[in-house]
Amino acid sequence: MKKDNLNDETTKNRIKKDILSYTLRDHLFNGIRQHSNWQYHKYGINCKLSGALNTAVELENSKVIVHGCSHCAFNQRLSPRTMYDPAYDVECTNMTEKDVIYGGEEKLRAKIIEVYEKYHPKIITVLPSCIPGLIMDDITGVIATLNDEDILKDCKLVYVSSEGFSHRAKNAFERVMKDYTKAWKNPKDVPNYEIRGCGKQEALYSFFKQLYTLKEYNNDKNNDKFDSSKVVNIESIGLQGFVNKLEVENISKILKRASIDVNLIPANLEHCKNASSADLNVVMGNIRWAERMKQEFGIKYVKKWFYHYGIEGTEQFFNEIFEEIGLEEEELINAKQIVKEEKEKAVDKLKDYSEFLGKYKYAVYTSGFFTTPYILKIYLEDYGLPIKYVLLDTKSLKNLNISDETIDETVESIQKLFDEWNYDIKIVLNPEIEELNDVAENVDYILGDRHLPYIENIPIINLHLVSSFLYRSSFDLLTEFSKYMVRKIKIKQNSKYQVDNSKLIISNFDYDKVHYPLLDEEVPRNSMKIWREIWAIKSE
Amino acid sequence: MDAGKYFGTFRACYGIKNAIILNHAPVGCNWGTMIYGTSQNLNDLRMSSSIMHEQEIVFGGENTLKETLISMDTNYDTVKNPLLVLLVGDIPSIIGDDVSGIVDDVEIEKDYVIINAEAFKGDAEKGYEDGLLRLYSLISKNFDKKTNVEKDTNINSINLIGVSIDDYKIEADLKEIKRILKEFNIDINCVISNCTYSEFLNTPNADLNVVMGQGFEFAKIMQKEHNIDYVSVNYPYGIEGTKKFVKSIISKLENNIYKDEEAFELKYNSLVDYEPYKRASVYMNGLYSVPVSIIGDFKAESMAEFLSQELGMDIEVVAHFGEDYKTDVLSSYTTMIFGSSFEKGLSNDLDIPLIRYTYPVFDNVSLSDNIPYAGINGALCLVEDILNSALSRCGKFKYNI
Repeated sequence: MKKDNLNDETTKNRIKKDILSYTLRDHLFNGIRQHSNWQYHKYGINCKLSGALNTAVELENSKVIVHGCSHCAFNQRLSPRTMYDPAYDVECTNMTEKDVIYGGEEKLRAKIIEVYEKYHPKIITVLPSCIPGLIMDDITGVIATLNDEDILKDCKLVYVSSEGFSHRAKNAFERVMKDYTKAWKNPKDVPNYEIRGCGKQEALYSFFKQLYTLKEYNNDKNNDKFDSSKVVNIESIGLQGFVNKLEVENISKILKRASIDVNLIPANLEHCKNASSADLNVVMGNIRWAERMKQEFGIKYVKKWFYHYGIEGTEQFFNEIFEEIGLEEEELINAKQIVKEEKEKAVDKLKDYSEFLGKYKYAVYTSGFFTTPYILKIYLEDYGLPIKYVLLDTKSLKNLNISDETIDETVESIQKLFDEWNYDIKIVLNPEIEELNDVAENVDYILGDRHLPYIENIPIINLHLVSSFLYRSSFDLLTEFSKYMVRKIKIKQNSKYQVDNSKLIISNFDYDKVHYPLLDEEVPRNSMKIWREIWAIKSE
Repeated sequence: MDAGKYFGTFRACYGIKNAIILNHAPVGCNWGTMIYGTSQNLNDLRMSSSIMHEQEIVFGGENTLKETLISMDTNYDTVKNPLLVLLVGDIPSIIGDDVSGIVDDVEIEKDYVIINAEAFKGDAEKGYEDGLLRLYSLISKNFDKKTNVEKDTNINSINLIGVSIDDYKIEADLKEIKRILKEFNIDINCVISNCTYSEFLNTPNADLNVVMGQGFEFAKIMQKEHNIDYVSVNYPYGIEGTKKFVKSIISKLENNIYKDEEAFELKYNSLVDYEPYKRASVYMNGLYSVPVSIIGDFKAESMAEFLSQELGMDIEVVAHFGEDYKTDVLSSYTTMIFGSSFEKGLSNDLDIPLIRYTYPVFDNVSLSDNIPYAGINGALCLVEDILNSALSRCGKFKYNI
């Protein structure tokens, strides 16, 4: 085998951009923070301003103004979505008591003008905190007046409804879980839903509602901004984490190979203007913005759902895009052929890995739920793993305030799906250490995520660094996951550095028996209990 | 950007280590105080929220407040957590929730205090001052002067006021400050805000209040009610800065043998060891005239003094969080920034190192209590970090032609 020349710039760049290397590096720099984020969510949730702000700062050549007290702007620069990348650069109207009494509209107007004159951004996003929402500052009026006066030349003003008191209802996830459980059997029936709270959806919707106008649509529809005959818009900001962005990159590459132009939106004002001349929208999150564009411009959309995961699902996803975009018959055949080739390449790669992985018996530990059966399907069908047990951790559902009744229904649905798919798999709910040890007696490896305790010598293959690869419509990410799994098992088998978990520093702490990695300490446990109690009685 | 009054008040109260905090506010205020407040101790979670929502805006937040109060009073053990602090945020204040009425209804078992902490009513410093003033009401209710306690007249006792439990390197700094003061026969009676509730209630038993940047109103009321004098000092950064700090305290104390200048100099000099600096003296010569900027709260001035007076660095910009300092720093010759985690943006813009030294620090942890920034040992640790951040820089000049 020819060895790489490590002095060669091309080789260096290839190594830098290798999906696994890139992801693991990024996890080191960024992902460790997410551990604390998951932990904090047991004690509270962030408000809409936080998600809206951290989505808005992603727009290129734009500025964000928080209309409220400095307290909110200070606080919300650090969002759970992007703990590793705070919004360092945020403007604020610094409302005082006088503004609360007399209104903050003049102050907002002055701040908008000041920011425009100082930075000359293409977009200014105004984000109200609770106070202007409560005293009913007429923000849209301030914006309309400024637009009428034509003071802000070539700069668009966007207003997002981001008042923090308007968070999601306590039963939001209960509904979503019920809907998903039904949709597992008939995937196309999965309903659209709206989860308020994070603020990202409100921000995206506002961008699409306010940055595209019919006038631009008419002007742009007949221009030649793109090389090819067909263009798709792909939602590209507010996507949590780097793997989401890798997926968008992967999707874009395949579409371009099929001679379809890609417009990443709403990255900047130029992209927003181009968006109205696209032929199709690709939705990575909530469909509200795409629905609006459908009404406004007649642009159809394809949304990525859980049934677009895995090898077959990914192919189906691309084919749906090709069919919806309205390709000519020959173009359609060619496009589908390109994806088929990509799929075959991925299947070939997986064969090598599956041959090795298929020699062992597994248990899979999972705490994600909305897509659980379909993730397990990837293990079973794409990777060919002999799975004997599925260890379901329902505690995360309890944290989301989902009722015991719905959790029971969910578990029952998963069991039924296994039966229908002819898999003889035993489900174990919320296994504690002793049960994990029992399961370990009957399998070679337990595949796990971040919630599995490391404190006993159980043969756990921890896949949490790459587990998000499975939730993607990307052949590359699916094969990379398998490659990583093989590598982890081989290290476990052959490395001279075998970990004795009992010697780990973290094994010296007592953990809460139910909520690992929460320490066995009364005060934080009580804080969690109180949060759940109060959250549960909200909106009743 | 200033953190605002709510955060200042929260920090004053959260430093009472066995107090529990009820944030009567929407979820965002609870989330923010939680992630910043526990950034140096991720398990120190002693707060909850009344989770105010749209319906509370319409119907008032009194019901949800009542439920949360009962839940917190019941779930936290009163022996372990004897104090409940109820922080009232912007929204309940504007809509006029009858907080006192609800509290009277509930009959709370714990000691409690209600503090209005509306963010629109001032900055973080005002929040800290107001928070301590309200906490003082607990002292006036509960303090029992220990008249019969035999005191060692050779030892002076002080309260140290102005720090917070979520300050970066707080444990290491306090350990170092205590160590140095002990050498001068000074004990710390209570650190505000980094103490237990019983230590807090015992503050009137000190000989002197030492205020570092904030907490003056608390010191003044203690002077008035308990006849305890106070002194304002800078945060003790550097060898000279620490010397000034100790001297200022001693100047206000009676019966301290180190009031004698010669005795003080002799003692202080015996504590300082320049040997470790010698090993990097060549590098340290390189720090002379290096332009730097310092952003922060009340600590900024002390840090600037240390960097200029003791390391010979050129001070480009010294600014407080509430000021608009970004343009000044960007248009200066700054090669290193001293600030909070939020100054990382500026340091990225300029591609220069950031030394985190002041609140909020959420992207670094300080675990060891032997690596302070304050005091005599702190000076060495600071020099180490400054040199390392410079020496570990790597980069190649690429011709841009």
